[in-house]
Amino acid sequence: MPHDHHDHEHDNHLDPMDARVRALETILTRKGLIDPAAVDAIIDTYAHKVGPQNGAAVVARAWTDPDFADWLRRDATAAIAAMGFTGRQGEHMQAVFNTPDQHNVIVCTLCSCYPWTVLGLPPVWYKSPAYRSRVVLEPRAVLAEFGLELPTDTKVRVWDSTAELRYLVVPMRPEGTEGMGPEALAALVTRESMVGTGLPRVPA
Amino acid sequence: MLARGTPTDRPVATRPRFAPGDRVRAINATPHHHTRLPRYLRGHTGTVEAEHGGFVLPDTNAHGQGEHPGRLYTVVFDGAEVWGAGAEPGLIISADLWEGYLDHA
Amino acid sequence: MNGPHDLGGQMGFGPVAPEQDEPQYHAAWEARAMGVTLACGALGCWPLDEGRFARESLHPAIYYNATYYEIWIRALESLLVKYGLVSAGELASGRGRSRPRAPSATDA
Repeated sequence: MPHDHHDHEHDNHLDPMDARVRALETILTRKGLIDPAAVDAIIDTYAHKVGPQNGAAVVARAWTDPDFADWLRRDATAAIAAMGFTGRQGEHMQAVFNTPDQHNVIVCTLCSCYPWTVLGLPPVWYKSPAYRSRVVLEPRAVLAEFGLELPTDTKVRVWDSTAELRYLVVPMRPEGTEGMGPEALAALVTRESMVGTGLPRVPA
Repeated sequence: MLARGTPTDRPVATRPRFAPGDRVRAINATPHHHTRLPRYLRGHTGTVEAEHGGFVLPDTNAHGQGEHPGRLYTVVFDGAEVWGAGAEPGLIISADLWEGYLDHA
Repeated sequence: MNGPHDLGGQMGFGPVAPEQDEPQYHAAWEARAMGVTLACGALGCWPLDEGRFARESLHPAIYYNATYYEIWIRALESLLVKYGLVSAGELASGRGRSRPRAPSATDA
């Protein structure tokens, strides 16, 4: 099973890369081109401030606030910015809503374009040649590897992020969540459900 | 820097060559320079879904040759058109393609 | 360009193998690589489009054998040299003896 043990085939490069990046950072710092404190701040931003919790808050609000959902559909960049989520790799956003008829999946076949402002840094699988090559060709086979089986009559739409539009999948609200507030709902919204390789959790 | 981002939308003066609903064919080209028209879509026919206004053209901007903004369109392709008869049923692929990547079909 | 990056519909890469509870980084250097790459991008010497071209211009054997952060670092080094911010000699001496071995497509 892919979930049990992921063999990081590239770990054999770990030590040389550690030395290489250290050396590069030292050279750049000595030349005054970068400041290690600024690098720390960038790392901290994506560790604590920017991540899939942002996207989950957007989705949960769309589930509970029809006016916001409408705005998100018409102008995702502005609607998402209004929640305080702006910046790099989120300058031009589009929200794509799953329906019973159509399931949406995002990819960047050409590099690793990903909606950073709402999902943070992409996971390894999103950047992997396996995902980028196959999800446009055989998305159902790929989704099955994530444990996601869709009804056979559901269309699968794959959005290839070839330009600077960044996509956020808005999954369908799970059944059995009536009466739940945005915070409790946000806890159900996984990163994979906002890429389209998964569905939200179902409340226990 | 992180909170601001770097928007790449730009005004363009020309009128759009395509409108939503138009049938378009991705050009067949094999440039040595940077491009954002993936190989698997080249030469294939799709339908314009949306027009997004002008965006910096990567093909020139990647090489210090200027931004040359062009209109950007979301184009939807049928899976069987791209991959042939064996494509997964119900597959739809879309990509965001610059005007210069497209011809009327 | 028809580079190694243009992956749509290519075959042979195996299953996707998503990792459960994946950590943000798989080694400490990956975090530094991310931060250094963004900090250098903020110098404003090259646009993101040129950064992408530098990545896809890596030799296919290197591209397919590298983690994504390694791709970033190799491309960053090439841009720093191209723009005269760092010399190839400085990079080589900074790396000392840890210069990477010649890549091969099969040594995954």
